Amino acid sequence: MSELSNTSNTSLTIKERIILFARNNMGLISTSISILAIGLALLIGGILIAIAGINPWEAITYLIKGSFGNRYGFGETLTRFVPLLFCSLSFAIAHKSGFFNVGAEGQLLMGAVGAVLVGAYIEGLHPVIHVLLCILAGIIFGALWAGIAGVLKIFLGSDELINTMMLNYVAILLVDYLIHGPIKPPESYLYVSATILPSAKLPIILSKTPLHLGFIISLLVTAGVFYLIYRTPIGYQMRTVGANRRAASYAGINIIWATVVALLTTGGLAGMGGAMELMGTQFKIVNGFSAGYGFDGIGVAVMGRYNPIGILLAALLFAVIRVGMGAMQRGAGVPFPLLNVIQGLIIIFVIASGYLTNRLSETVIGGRA
Amino acid sequence: MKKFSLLMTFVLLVGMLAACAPAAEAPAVEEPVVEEPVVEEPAAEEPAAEEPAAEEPVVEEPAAEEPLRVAMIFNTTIKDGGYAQAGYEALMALKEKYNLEVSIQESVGDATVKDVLRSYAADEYDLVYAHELYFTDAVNEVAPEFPDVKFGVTGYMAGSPNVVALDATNWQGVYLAGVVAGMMTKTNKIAMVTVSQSPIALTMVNAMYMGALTQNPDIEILHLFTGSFDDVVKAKEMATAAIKDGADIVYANAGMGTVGAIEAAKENNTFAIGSSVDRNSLAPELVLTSNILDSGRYITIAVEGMINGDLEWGKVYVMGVKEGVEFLAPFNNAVPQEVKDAVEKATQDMIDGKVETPPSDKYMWE
Amino acid sequence: MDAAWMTTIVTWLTMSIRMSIPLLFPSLGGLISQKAGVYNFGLEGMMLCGAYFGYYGSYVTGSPWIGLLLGMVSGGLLGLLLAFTSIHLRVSQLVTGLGIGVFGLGITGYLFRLIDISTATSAATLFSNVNFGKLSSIPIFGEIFLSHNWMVYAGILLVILIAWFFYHTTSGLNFRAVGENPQVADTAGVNVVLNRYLAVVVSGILASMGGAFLTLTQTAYFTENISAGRGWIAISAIVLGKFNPWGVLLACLLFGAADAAQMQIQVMNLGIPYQFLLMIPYILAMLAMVGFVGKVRSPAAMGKPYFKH
Repeated sequence: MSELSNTSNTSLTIKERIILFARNNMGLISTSISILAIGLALLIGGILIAIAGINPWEAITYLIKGSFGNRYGFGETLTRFVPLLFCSLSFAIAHKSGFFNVGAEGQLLMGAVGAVLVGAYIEGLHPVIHVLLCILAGIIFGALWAGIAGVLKIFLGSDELINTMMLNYVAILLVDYLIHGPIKPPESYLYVSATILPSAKLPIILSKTPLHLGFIISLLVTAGVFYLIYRTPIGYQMRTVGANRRAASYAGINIIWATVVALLTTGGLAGMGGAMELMGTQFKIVNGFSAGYGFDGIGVAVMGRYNPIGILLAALLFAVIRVGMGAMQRGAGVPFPLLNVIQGLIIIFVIASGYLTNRLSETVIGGRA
Repeated sequence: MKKFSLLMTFVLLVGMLAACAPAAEAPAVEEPVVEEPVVEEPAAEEPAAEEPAAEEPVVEEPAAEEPLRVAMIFNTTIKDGGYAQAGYEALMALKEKYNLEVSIQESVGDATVKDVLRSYAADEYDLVYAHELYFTDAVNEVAPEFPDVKFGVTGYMAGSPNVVALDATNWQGVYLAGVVAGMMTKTNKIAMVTVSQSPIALTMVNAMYMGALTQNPDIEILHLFTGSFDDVVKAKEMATAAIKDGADIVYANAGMGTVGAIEAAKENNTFAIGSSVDRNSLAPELVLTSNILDSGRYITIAVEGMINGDLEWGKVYVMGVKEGVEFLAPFNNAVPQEVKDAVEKATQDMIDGKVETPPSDKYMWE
Repeated sequence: MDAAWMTTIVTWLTMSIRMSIPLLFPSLGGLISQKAGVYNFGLEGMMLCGAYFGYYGSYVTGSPWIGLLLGMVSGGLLGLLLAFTSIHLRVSQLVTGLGIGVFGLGITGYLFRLIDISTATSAATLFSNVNFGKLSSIPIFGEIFLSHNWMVYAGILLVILIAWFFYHTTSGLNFRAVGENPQVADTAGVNVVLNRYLAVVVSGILASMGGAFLTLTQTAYFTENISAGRGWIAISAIVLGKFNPWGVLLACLLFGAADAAQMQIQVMNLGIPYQFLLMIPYILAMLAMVGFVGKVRSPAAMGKPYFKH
């Protein structure tokens, strides 16, 4: 059966079988370990829920039922999944290219602004054209916003971690200002932006739920992003610059160009996420439009170990948590702070469980998975 | 090969979840057919049961049949010591009194409110109440999708026959506070600390101005906004800044920040007027009064209106001093009788309709 | 006109100092942690715990010192957690920090819900301001520098202490080596693991003191999310301060001054949309990083887990 064994027996020892199994199924094993970690977090969360006087089993049931046990919740989960995915791709690409982009929150917002300007104020366009233009606007605005930090980094050597973070706050305040006046429709009593025209809206793909075409688009973009990173020359250049700048410049790679492309992509992805959210489910910019997607996106990228499947699963997990938390309060009365506790515990435990995965893969493969 | 198997795992997972979803729908579709006759009977019975003088049978019969299911959603935490907490406590009191089945969700963001409303409505709650002005548009967008569910909102629009909008004027109490401030100030500078510069905030500021103007032609209002609903410390700093600038009365309506602003007044031995609930305990000598907005009234009116059948749906109710929704808390010892008399007169003027609604788009003195 | 301007400036400067302290404590904490080579992104969560437990201790026992102690313990424990995951488990410090931030927000809100209190009776006992006697009535100087709470002076003292420790003691040198080049430090006999653990736990303690400052000197009440993001700004202050304690002090003062300035401008009613005023601290941070600070070099081994060979 296997040529791996170097004894003359044809059957493997138990230990060798296990190691072989582990080597071939690292992905499955690391997912299982993560699931155990989630279980542990839910266990502790359950204890705290019980202390608050609520039946923990009931609460967990609502978490599951509310996030994918009923049609609307299922659709809602996959809808929340979309901006999370885009933001995590943004962080992952930046990381692979050697810098920290923690500004996805702001870039997503600016992308939404770009999309709303094209979507609400340009009339008489064919839907497909309108949608494409809005997406383009979203990408451009997001890329430009990241570009500010990029320019500061490239030409002035200024740390992008801080600049992208500061730009988040500036973006939030700027959008707040915009929806107070410049892009607020005069007849609206509340502070919101104009609503995009029907020709700019993405179609719903699962009836009676908020799930829209953006979900499919996000999956395609994920494939595209990883194709870019791993199978194109520019992607190779970006990764090399990310891994070792000096080696990259010796190899003749144009560092500035690679960094520029990386920046535009990272900002553009987050901006696209904002456009998707606007065109698929929100249709106008409201207060709190970017509900922590940027920051959660960082967690998703790291938890997903920067590979496509991991990111997809982690984004799904985060979306399930987001939607399920609300269902837990509605159905079982779990107070909102506890939901934050559980989310924090899940993040900490899943990340910490990465230790087990690392040790395991070091043992069986001889390197980190 | 490895990547493909991982991809398959992912697709399988999503597929499994998808398989769960429609299955869950089937039983859900059946239930309403069975439930409706049960739900309708109490509604048909109640008006008939109301006619005899005794009130108790009205309360007991619906409870025996099927408890009324009421859902309430909040934009913030329910432990804010003010607006949301009052609504929550009122709901709990109603739950006790009428044996309701209740559910709440708090900290609901503007971007997710429609999903929450739909989830509650799909879960067949009898009344879904949105206790937040900023939810008004969302409620009116979602309500037509669920004609059998009643929606309530603390807001300004009821665009669908199954929606009722309840709101306070939000300014009448402030007007009365303005009367007090206008008379009690010695520097003619009043500080107002709010969360934002929204139309409501502007209405309130103008109401303060109008009220103070009736007593004092030289009045100046300093309007400061924290930009945050929960930054207590910032509100305190802003009030301090205003006091240093010469304001000798601080009016605070800044979410959680209200407490901070009053603390600033306390530290600087300045008068203050609170809001939402009676803030006198924070600084008994200095808090002249508080502009009480009984935000528990809305849900009470909605629920009792449903039970007693005397609330008109598809309507907007704006209530204020006349309906007892807005009023000033008892005055402290620093307030002289002439001020109390002036407030009484102003209150009567408002009830008689002699006071105009202040503008909400800009400051009156510009 | 001049008197009014004087008052404005004096108020502004006093407020600047006061508002920089809740940033200073977590920033110094984060600085210590990062000097030893570990990112502490959980400052916000540790601050909130310090704020809550500080409040709770003072409310229940009537002594703000007990509250402070309780707060410091809670911060230290969270620091211990971060240290464990970063040093022993060697997993992502960034994400663990984020997780601690979310956890801290939730656990403090949750505990606050469990105790049933109404605003009327739930004030904690505060630390009173330091009484300098006659000195505080010196015009201008007295108000700006001598009217503060002891924690303000403690913060400044801490800066001096930390600078002295890092740059004038052997253990401080060893400590910095752990962050710059742990391999060499280890060979030289410095206990990398112990130093890092201490660094992170101390950073937790300091961050929690920043939170306790809010509930034990500024306001007598805890409210959910009372720190309102200061822990995240602290991270920027560390980079802005070029990873040294005096720079961090200046950075925090800058943030405090910008925040205070936007309030004063609001008071002066200049008609600028308030959102732009609120942006001032962040834009200033970005500008300051470019113009006056130049290239910032973080400790070389920061963020990289240490593998003992």
